[in-house]
Amino acid sequence: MNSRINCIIVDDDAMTRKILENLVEETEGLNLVASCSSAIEASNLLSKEKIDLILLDVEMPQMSGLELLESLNEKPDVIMITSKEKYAVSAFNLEVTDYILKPVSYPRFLKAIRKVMTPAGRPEAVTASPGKLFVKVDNSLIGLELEHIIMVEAMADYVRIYTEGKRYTVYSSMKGVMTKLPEDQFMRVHRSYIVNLDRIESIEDNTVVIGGNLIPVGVTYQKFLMTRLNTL
Amino acid sequence: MKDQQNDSQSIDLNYLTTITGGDRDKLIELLKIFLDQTPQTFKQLNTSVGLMQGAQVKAQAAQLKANLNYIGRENLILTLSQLESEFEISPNSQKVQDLLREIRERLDILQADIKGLVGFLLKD
Repeated sequence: MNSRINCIIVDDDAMTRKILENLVEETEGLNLVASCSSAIEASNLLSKEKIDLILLDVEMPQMSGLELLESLNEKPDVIMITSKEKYAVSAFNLEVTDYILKPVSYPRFLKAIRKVMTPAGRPEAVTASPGKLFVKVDNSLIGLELEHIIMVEAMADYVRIYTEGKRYTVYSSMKGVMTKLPEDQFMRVHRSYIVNLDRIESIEDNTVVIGGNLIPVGVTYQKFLMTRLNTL
Repeated sequence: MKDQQNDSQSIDLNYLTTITGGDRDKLIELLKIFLDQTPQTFKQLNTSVGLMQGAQVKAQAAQLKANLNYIGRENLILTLSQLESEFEISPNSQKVQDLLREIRERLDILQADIKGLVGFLLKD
């Protein structure tokens, strides 16, 4: 997407708001317009501002998140973020994009955001080289076959991309790289590592063996990683 | 209370550390919000129990539980759930009062521990 998604957070809990603010700040393509402590405050803001996405709690005093949704004539994308499963059916009946239980992990948050960025039925931006990632090295753009990329490692302001027999150091962030890689093939398993799921050789304890390297799996990514693997 | 000593030893910062990417200032900010917010929410819960306002009791207990979940305090979350159940059965019961007192005492200990932790992080 070329333009950023204008989003608001609506939650009466200050700690949750701050956590979500951190997640939004970490996510490329999102622009936080406001962090509202009530549905009424959000309702007032929605009548004045063009908002693309609401990160919305359910249980709030005076007006609940579901009541806010029912009151809107034009609904932006909505990701419900709540502690309870019991509102999921009502929420999906109101056509929310996703429903996340607290505490929210970053991978789960990112998965929901991707649904907003590439909703079903909306064609994704056409790329002329769907199987390749072009990286700038010196004055050249080098096309790397996605299937040849083994993993990506964070290095301060740079990332190091490992392919078979070669490494490329590129000026980019991990977030930037993640947005360029297909999510069905690549996954972030640690703050500092993205791996090609097709290239994982084994997993021992909380370590992935890939391309002869031992990669730690961050605690928040562990469960998510297991759900992505084809296991018996 | 038998769990108090365990409670005081088990602040789990795993989630908050991950979510802040290990940024100490952000971690301190979140812990300070916990310190500001929790006593107020408990006070509201206490009032709502006294006024027998069931919906408010649920909402305030849910807020406390969400915040406690962020620092891995499952024991205290269970006690809050127990309070909600007892309140539904008999809002005036001695058991409800006992649970409220227990929660307050354990939150006080937790607050002191987190204040100590914030002080340590600020010095570091």
